[in-house]
Amino acid sequence: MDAPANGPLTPRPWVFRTQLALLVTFSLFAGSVVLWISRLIYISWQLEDVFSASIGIALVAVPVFVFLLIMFNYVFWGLRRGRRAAVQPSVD
Amino acid sequence: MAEHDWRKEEDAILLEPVFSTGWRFYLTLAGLGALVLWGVVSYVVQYERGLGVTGMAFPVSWSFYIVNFVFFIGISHAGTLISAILRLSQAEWRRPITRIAEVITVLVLGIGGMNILIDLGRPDRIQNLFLYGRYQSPLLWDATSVTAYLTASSVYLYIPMIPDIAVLRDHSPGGWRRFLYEVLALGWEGTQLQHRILNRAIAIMAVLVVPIAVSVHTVVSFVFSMTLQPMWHSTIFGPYFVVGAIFSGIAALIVVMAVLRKVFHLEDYLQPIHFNFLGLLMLVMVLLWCYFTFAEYLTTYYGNEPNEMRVFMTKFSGKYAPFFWAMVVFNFGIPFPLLAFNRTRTIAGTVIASLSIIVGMWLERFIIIIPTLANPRLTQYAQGSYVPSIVEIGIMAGCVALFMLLYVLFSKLFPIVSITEVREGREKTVEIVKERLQRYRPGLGKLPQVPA
Repeated sequence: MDAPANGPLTPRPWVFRTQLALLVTFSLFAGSVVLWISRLIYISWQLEDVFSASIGIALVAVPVFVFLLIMFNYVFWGLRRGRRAAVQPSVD
Repeated sequence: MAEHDWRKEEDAILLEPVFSTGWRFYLTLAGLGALVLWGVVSYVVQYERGLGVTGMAFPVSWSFYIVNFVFFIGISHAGTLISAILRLSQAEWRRPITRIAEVITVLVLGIGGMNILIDLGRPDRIQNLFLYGRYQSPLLWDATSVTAYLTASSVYLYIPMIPDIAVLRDHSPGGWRRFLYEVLALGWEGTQLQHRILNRAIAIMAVLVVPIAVSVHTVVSFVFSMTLQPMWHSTIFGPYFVVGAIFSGIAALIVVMAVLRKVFHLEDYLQPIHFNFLGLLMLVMVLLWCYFTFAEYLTTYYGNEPNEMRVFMTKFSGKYAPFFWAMVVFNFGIPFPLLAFNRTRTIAGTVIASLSIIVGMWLERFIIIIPTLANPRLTQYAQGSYVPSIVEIGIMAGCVALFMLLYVLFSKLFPIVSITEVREGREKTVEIVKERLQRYRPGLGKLPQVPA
């Protein structure tokens, strides 16, 4: 898609703040799930309560949430970098 | 920014539902809203009086809600999995249908998960699940995997939508919608670097969501197969559930496509060939489902274990036989002949087959869950029976209506067919396919000339 000819290339600050709030909310959500799973595993280890069974599913779930967190951040900051690269005038 | 006129866009028909609103939209909202309200009222009754208002009675402790949970999670495989597989296999015909499918996934996953909460007798104690949950329990695995799939599917729906949201931002007249699009567009201007980042993210997500989707329905099956209940303790339950999920998912996708095609006049985008290809995919799934069902039931029959046979016979010739044989007719008897022949694999044919499969797969979930609970392994427990109450029917109707309502609202806010993907396909498909053919065709470079 071509950039609109008459569109502002720098969003207003409150737009960015809202975007940042979304990113923080998502990061908190994914981080909380990882912490929650880790806590339940820790409890099962402390209570010697079939620790191995807990670890099995956690090995799948934790990396998924960490990966989604990284991916969302990659897109968020990447698109911002891509836009800024287009805005900044060339040194030449 | 002065907004551009969306009517001048090449794919203006895709933007029309977003920017113009007719009386039919409000009528649909009102109708679906009334059904959702029925569901809410039913739940309030259940919340106040307890699960006694449902048809559940010992030993049948799971019923409509768990059937709906498994059914909705199955339907969710429509989207992300099918869309990801088509993306990864570079099927060019996928372009108009990926978003339709992905939206189904996100919405039904939410509603499926909601059914678990509805099934709780004391929802006010939900915090105990988080504080003192035992991660050894397959029920908690379920909660984790459904949350993971919902999160991944939402990200997978959102990322490819960014360029389309930017189109909406550029055409939006102002107000809260303009703000919403500005926020969600993440500053998309369509630069080369942004394209590269977005395409990389979409490709990685497509690879990631396939194993997540498969694992989710496998984990759903674990809720049953990890127990020693008759006709649940089966090693093939995982793949059997995954096959059933993809099967019902494709069916739901076809029905939604047909409705959108009719309502939004998308005949140019959703063509008979899309229904034909999905119909062929569904035919494969009909046969796979039959194979798994046959394997599952034959093993039980041959084993002749008394507890298992009690459940088996109640399905085959007992109280639940009408549901079992209806399932066979709806999942095989009706769709197979419709999908097997070119002449009947039309839009109408695939839609009839799909509707039949949706009913059949709901019955399949019912026939897996209820007869086993009504005939438990421990013989000191009396045999049970189950008839749904009006409260359960109301909540189920509310859930289905909620899915439709949210789908309508989504199509009011965002284009239901990906403008960017369709545009890219229009501009590059011939070149992409030609280049791909040159890679593997014997006699390299001797392709017939494609007229310009």
